Amino acid sequence: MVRIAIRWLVSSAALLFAVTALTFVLASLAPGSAVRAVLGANTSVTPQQCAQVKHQLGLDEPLPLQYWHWLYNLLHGSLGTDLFSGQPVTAALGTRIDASLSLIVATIVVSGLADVTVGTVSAVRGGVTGRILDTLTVFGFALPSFWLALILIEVLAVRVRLFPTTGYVALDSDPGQWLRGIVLPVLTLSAGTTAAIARQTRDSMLQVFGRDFITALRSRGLPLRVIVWKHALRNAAIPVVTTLGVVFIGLLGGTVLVEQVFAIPGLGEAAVTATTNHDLAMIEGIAFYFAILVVVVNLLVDISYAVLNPKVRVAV
Amino acid sequence: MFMRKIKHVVRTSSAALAGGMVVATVAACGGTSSSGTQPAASSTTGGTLTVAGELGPTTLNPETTNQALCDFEELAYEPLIVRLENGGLAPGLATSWHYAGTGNTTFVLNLRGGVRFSDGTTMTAQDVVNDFQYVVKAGGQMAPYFAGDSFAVTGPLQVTITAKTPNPDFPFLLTQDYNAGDIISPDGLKDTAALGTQTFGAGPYELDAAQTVSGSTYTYTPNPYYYDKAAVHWKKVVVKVMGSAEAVLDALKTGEVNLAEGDASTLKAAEQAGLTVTQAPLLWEGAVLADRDGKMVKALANVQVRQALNYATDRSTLVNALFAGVGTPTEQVTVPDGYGYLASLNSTYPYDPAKAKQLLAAAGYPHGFTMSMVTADYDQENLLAQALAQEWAQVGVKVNIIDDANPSAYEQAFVSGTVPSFIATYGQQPISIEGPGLFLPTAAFNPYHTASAALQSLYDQDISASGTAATALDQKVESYLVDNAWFVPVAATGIAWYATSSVTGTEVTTGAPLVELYQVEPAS
Amino acid sequence: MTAAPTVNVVAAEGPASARRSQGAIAALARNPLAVICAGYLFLLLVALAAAPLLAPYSPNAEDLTHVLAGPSARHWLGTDQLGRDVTSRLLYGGRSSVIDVLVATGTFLLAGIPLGLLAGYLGGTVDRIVSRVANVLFALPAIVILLMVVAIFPNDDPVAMVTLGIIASPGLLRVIRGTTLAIRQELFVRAAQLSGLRTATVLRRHVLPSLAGPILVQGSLFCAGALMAESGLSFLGLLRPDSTGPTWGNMVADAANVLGQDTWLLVPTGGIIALTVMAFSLLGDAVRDATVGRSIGSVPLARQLTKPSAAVVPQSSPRGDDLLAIDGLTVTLGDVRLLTNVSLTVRAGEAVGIAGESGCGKTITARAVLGLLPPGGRVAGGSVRFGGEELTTLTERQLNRIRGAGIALVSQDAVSSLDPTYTVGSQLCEVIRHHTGASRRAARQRAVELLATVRLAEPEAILRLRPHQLSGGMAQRAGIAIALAASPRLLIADEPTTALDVTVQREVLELLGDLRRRLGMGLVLVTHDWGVLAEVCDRAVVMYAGEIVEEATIDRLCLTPRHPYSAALLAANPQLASPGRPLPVIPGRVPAPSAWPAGCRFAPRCSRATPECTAQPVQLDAGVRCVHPVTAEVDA
Repeated sequence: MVRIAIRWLVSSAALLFAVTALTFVLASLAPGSAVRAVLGANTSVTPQQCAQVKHQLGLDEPLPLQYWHWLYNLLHGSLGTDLFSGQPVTAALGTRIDASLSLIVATIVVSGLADVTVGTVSAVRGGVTGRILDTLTVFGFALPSFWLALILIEVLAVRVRLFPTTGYVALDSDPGQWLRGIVLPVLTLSAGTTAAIARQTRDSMLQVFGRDFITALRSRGLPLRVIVWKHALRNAAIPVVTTLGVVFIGLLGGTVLVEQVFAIPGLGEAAVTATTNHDLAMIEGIAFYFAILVVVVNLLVDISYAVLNPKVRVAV
Repeated sequence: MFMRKIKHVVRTSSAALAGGMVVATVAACGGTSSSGTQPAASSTTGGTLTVAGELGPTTLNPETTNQALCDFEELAYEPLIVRLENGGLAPGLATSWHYAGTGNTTFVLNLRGGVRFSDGTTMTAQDVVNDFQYVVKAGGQMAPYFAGDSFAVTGPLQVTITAKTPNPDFPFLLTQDYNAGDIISPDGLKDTAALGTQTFGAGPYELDAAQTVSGSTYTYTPNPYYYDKAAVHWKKVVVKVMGSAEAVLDALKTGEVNLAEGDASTLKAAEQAGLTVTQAPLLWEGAVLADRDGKMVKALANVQVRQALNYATDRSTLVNALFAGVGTPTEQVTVPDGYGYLASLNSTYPYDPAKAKQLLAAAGYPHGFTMSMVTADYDQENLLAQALAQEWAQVGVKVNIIDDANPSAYEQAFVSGTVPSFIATYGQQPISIEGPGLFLPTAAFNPYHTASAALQSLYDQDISASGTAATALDQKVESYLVDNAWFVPVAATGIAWYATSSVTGTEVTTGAPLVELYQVEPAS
Repeated sequence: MTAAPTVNVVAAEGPASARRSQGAIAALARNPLAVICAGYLFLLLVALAAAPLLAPYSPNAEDLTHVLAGPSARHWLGTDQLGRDVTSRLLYGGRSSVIDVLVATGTFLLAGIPLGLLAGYLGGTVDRIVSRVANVLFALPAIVILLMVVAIFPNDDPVAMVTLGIIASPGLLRVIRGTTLAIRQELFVRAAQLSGLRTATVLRRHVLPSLAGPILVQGSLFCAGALMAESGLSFLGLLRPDSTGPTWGNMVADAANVLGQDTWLLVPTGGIIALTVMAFSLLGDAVRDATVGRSIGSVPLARQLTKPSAAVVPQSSPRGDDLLAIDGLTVTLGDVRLLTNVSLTVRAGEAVGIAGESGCGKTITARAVLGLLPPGGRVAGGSVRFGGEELTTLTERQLNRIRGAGIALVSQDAVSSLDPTYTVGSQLCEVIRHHTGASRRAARQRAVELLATVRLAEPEAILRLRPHQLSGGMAQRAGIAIALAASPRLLIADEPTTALDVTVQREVLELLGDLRRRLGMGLVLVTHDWGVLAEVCDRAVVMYAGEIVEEATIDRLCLTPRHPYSAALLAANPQLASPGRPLPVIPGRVPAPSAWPAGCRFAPRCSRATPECTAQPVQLDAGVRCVHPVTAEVDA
């Protein structure tokens, strides 16, 4: 266990450093935007003013030093200030993280349950079902997500008032409305993840079905559903969990589009606004938050491996 | 673009301002339209008013925010002077005002007593002076209008502004349309960083930061210290930011939202859906031929060339294609019945490509010429740019379009004087305000600082005149601009407002083309 | 936006030779879906290349009097907000989009292949560094990097696409590296290296051909993802606007903008993207299927389950006290017969052995009783009755009643017969509870008892162990305990001691014998070891090439085997060998099931064979299937 923890710590630190350093380097390629943001839309801006603002923002320092300052602030709990609104980045993003997390976690749960079931059934039945599964899941992946979102809104929210067209209600303020609000976005996101999860489940399960203990379990008179869902699934789990981890990281990108269409105030929506406005402080903050999410997911995946892989579990 | 149709240029851009002001004596009619009748108002306080907008503000600071997004300010900040729906002026935080002496340089304001900010502190004259000083210091869009002025407390509840140059429009500048008159509480002035995310005003509502997600949902609750309780019609006002016009329309159709600013692309659908649709002309959209001294494109220095471009523009087809139902063709930089409007000017340049080619040849460009044009992506400006490009290509003028989704990049581009022409959406304004905004050498929309002695003289006369003389001079200025083809205006448009039957008070007129959120009432 | 394509998470496939590539192409050609997708993509590319010829209008030609028109004769797919023809714009726009995808894919391949090759081939430090960097890059949230780059270089398609390619390349790098690593260790590569071929030549001639498959797969899937990414970024307004020319991405973004006015526009613009993405994805899948192939173990579970065979008429009448009566059993796998006419009876409390070399069909016989034949296997004839009940006509569900409770099975490899992810106790209790419905506590109690019965020390501790923590002997005993859990009347033990060493063997056999006596359980013991047979069984049958060649009591079989094969087997038994003399082995080999001769199947190897033996099938007569049975005693 300790070894796992150390390995995770090292790789997480490397990841966080890589993400933040990379965003810093990229941001340094366009310092002009930050200056412009502070000076606002003032038409007559003198070079002296530019230089002054640059100095104020610390942009005239060498890059490693800037990064060091940023790290220092980070360790003191600050991600800097959004140049446009004057709001601390942590405050601006903190309110948005639960919207994005709601979407992503709900999608993983829903899609995970559904797709693992579909993949398992396909592995059990096989044949034509398998081929149909392959094609259908690719179909879900191939539909542009915003296309699907717009259709879902039109059909299920406007024509039939089952769900709200846009917007997000926090879980702690109204669980019922929260649920209603995330159904359509989660459906949209799930369409894209089905292919990966269902197929990986099917492939893993098929491999497990070829193993000796499956026959042995049958010989003991255990019913098929116990063999498939209790035994086979657990043995097939590790690659599936890996896929879930990869899907999670892919969903970070998926939320960017879906939050736009559904006007959900999450990290993805903030990312797009920040990108369009060249609001680099915000982008760096969002990059950091995303990296943290990735790190957490990696940890969960590693822990799952330990739980699922018998050779890692220490016999009590 | 799917979103980001910033309406900021609707009201202003850089130092430009908009907002229709018609002196009460001029009939405000014509050009307005509405479908669906306004419901009767209910006498009780409504529950929640939910408003949708396509864009959120980047900051809530009244002095640095983009002036077009003043919806978010109006709810929480009370201006010194209130512009009414019919265009007239009424007391706000100031009960009376006047110009002292002659020359329109000294402006006196008498303040309302007993006004308390949302944090409970009482407003004093010194607070108002401090606020004016902050307006200048903040360097926002209003700053140039007060730069160089001095502000003094001249009585227990009296403030005097002494301007360096004559400014006949102080009353208008201090209404809710321009944010300069929004008085900020002392706490807000102390902590200007917080102004970005909280409100410190004396208006009918205040921002509920706990229920607000910056950039997405803004929740306002009644200000317990507001001086006119009867004017507070709602227990809660929520302004939601939605990404697109379609999303806004969908939300209205399902009743999730009661009121929203509309869009040309959804107008017909809104009418079909049975929403109350109101609109009044407010803006003109077209090309600004900025490089009139020919610094980058020699051809544009020649008035015949500029006139040729006007002749080469098929305005009625363009309006039918892009602004159907929301706009009318225009050849002048104003709207029907707006400031300086002269009906005959709209026949100056009938669509005549042959004549355009003739003029170009006469000016020495028989094979046309090339020029760049920068456009933004909102209000269909990019579509207009491409349409104009194709029409002008027929007469040999090649246009290279620079299309920037980033609104501030677009602004930077045209304001910097590096692009000889640009598409603009500009509000119609009193000429005295339009000068510094649009056509005087110092105007932001005149990046090459072209000057004309004749125009300057007309302008100077105009700001000192009043009454019918002023109107005539307005029209003379307008005629000058049209005859000299400084611009290629294409469409006079407005903003459409969509409302469900649960609210009322959304009428607009040429004089008051914008719905004031705090005047919307629940329907009975 | 799914910026990352469906990356192949499964580890790199094993090496494939050039011959296999050719086979793969053939397999691909047989797959109708692959052909359709490849055909579509080819036609699409041709159409795009020929856009100037095919497009009815110039892509930027505006017709302001016909904006947002639906499909018509003039405009087959309608027009957009400026009255521009959608068909023409799709054709020209496709060129831009395809170029974008090519730029991204080119970068993807350029970044992934050389580095993967280097890392896999050179190994060592190079591999470590490259892999480390790739892992970090792979773990980065791609969307963030993409957005940052786009923020700094707005409206710049090539930059965004190159970035996408770089971000996704670690996926390809891993696959290339894995494949290269595996190939490097192949003997023929070693041979090439030793014979002095330069690295580059080795790479080119031996490594690259095997990489074709994975490259195609990853490349195809990435193209799908890149096209999706392009449309997503355009939708967000971050790529080239339509004033610089159409791309599929900005066309669909424009269509979304006017959704309120024109619902049709979204169909062709979104549809072409969806179709092309699907084509790339399905093609990638098909290539993967063709080059990797399906391994033997990947058979759907349904195919493994028993299907009841047709109703049978037993050849001989049942004897009342038979516990198990196998009568004339014939089993086939596809067209091939695995067993012919096998008959065997077991009475309650009796121990019967099935002896023979590997491949003679003894395991199949054991499995056939419980309906656990391999996928595709069926009972083609004969009957199996247990306690009077016919088993071959039962469905899987019906058979399940008998399994465990009536007849139990103990397999050869005890550890792999247990689910590695659950403890021994959990699996034991599971069986107990299923068959007896006992409570958790009672089941645990019984589990401890069972483990004690099979003479495992410290049963409580064993319960908590996982299969990989058990020794062979412990595992086998645990397996027996599980088999006994439901008190079966018959136990079939398939080579239960083969994997164990001699002392443990002895103990397990003693245990089996003891259990049989105490519990009155019938026992079928399958083995190739005569010592085991003699130790435990009362009677035995000898099988050769799918049929029974002799059956007798143990005493008679061991002292006076009558079938030449039985005699030869006994003579070849090392335990009976004389020291210093060479071991008499049987010449020749057991015939494969597809090559069984019509007559006596042992005849080709038999020293006593005559033409009479091979003329026609030999019947079982007085317990021997032989024309010339051995009558004299075996010489010691």
